Amino acid sequence: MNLSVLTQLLSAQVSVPAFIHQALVILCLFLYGCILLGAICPSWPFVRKMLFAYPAGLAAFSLVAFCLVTLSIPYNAVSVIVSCIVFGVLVWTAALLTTGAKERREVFPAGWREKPLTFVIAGLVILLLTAFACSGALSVTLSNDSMYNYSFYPRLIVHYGGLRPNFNTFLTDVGQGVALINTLPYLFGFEETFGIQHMLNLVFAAVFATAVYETADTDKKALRIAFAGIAVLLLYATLPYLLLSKWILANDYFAVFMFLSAYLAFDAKHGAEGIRLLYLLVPVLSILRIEGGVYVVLFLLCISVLPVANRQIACGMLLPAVVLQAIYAIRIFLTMTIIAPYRFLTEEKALLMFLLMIAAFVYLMWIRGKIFVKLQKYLGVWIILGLLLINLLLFLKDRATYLENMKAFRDNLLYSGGWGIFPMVIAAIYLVAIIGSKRWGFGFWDLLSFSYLFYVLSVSFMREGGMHSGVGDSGNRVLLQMVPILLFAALQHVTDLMKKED
Amino acid sequence: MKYLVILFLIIAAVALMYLKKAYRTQIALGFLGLLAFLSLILSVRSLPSTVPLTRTFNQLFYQENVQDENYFDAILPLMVGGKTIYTKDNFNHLTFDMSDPEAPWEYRLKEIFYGVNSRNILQAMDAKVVEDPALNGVEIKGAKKDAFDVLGQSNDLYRFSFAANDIPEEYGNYFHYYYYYTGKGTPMHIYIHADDPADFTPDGNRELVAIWQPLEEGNGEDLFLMTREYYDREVAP
Repeated sequence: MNLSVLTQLLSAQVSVPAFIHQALVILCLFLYGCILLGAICPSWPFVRKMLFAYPAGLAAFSLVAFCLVTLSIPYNAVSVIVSCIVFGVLVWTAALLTTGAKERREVFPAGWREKPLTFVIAGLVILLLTAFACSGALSVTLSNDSMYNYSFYPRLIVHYGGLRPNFNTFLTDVGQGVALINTLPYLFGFEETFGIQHMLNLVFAAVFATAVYETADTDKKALRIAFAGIAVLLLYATLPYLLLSKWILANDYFAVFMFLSAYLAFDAKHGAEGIRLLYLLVPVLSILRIEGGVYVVLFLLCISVLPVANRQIACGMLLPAVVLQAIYAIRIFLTMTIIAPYRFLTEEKALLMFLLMIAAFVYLMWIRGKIFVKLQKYLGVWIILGLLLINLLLFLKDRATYLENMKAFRDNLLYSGGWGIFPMVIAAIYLVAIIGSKRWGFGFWDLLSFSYLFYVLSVSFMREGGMHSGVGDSGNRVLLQMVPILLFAALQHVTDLMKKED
Repeated sequence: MKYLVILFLIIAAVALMYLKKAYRTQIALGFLGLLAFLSLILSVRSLPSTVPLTRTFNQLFYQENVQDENYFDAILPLMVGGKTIYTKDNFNHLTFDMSDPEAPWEYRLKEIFYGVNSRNILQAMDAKVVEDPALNGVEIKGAKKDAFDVLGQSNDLYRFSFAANDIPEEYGNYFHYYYYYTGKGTPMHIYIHADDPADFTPDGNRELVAIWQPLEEGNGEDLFLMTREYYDREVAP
């Protein structure tokens, strides 16, 4: 039997329905996100809602699915749809109760009645992008983790209707949020999530461009547009981001949501409503990768250098993340017995993560802005110094492993890790921008970038075996996640040139 | 060379900014544009050699045009889902004390590997598995084996078969992790035979037979899938 013949026969039966189902799921996620944003960000312009609708819908789905499986509620298409509807109702109820009639809300994006043509054009663009994303025209790269962690495991979740103890290392090593996104094929009748991931990347390109456009410090629209266009081209021309976007794993999702969350926190222009969207995105960020809870602590500390209220960060973002991590830890460590030859997440690491989260909560609620206020002005410095101290302690604890990690890090950056010329490009942008503008500032985005670098070095140390050379090494891929944020940080310094221009 | 080019661009950009202060922004944008162009050229050249890229329009996880690791096991669910599969019924349910360093546990685990995990994987792919004692001990070798086509290597499917296990200990993962990653085992392959390839499609033949090579005979550790019709006609003893 000719294998190609078999594949063609399978394709003939499966391809068209699979394409249609995946495209419909993407459109439903878009619509779902629109409805949620109608409650969360009612005064956002129509186009802005379109940009964030798909990530919001995807995040909400991931969150709902996570709650279903950790609370042992039967996991199937019906329960997922019903739960998503219930979640939507809860979000709308909460929005109406907290702000009531003060803000005008529409279930569907505001302004569509006044500008129906814009709405139609936007709808057509979304349809075309969806079709393009699902078509298979964009290449992907697959590895064992793609197949087993993010296809086989999700298939089993749907087959068994939830989590079971025998999932073992799938429970302790795999980003559950992304694994649950990858259950969508098995819930709704298609075979892979390439289109879902590509669509996220296409939307992200538009968001990245918008972010650059809005932060460009010039009144000249042509310069803003040029800056945004070149920025997106630069992002998608770099080897590390191409790798991230094409590799069917959790890293791309994490990188995108990391950037979206950072941008919403930074974006003063759309202020309060963007912060409300973070109440959804930040907890979801904590479940996209198994170490996500630890990163969220660092992320929120970095956000605390911005003028965001304590309660918003602590109660709106951190507390839901703590709850999600808690119910997951209870589910897998107290209601199941995990017997595995290796695991990333152990009871001890989970406990450490909780202690970090509680410490962050205490800081945000009772120390930030209240005690040692003068010292807090330099919080960014303390964060970097703190991470350097952690790395120093790890070095003293096990010098050989730490140096091995640094060697692997160097090799990956320079030769084998898929970084290409990106490090040199970033250094070049920083150099030219700083020399050209004669401004040397260490801003929010620089803090996010450099703290993330030291964070990855310390988290990799905690993994059995540390970092290895090679593009596929988990530690290297986690480092690749910082590419959009690091590039944006460098481009922020370019905007200093524009200030001089004016 | 590429680093020299970037260095040249940096120097040129800084020099131009110094000379033409009023056009700083435009110079910076030009500089970024050239960096993007350089990145694009180098990325397009180096991406395919960094990771294997695939592009197909068939909506399947399985990517046909990749030489190695193209995940044939991704096709299995499509081939067996919703169908009745007949298997042997003498699967072992050995329990074993994994804390005992002296026991030759890898061989015992192999029986389990070839037993409940394999059967459970088929069930997890939404096949209805029917155990038939008539299939116990059936062998496929020589001319019978030659009639089968190899779908490919099952990659790590059996390594992760613990997830479909219905006994508490993670035998599958321990086994594969030890057995294959220490070089003792040979890769598992999936063999298929159907008179009509359409039998293995979702709309095809509803009854299949799954046979695993008994390890005692020293055969390769492979899974053989065929239609019930073919088994009755050509393979059954």
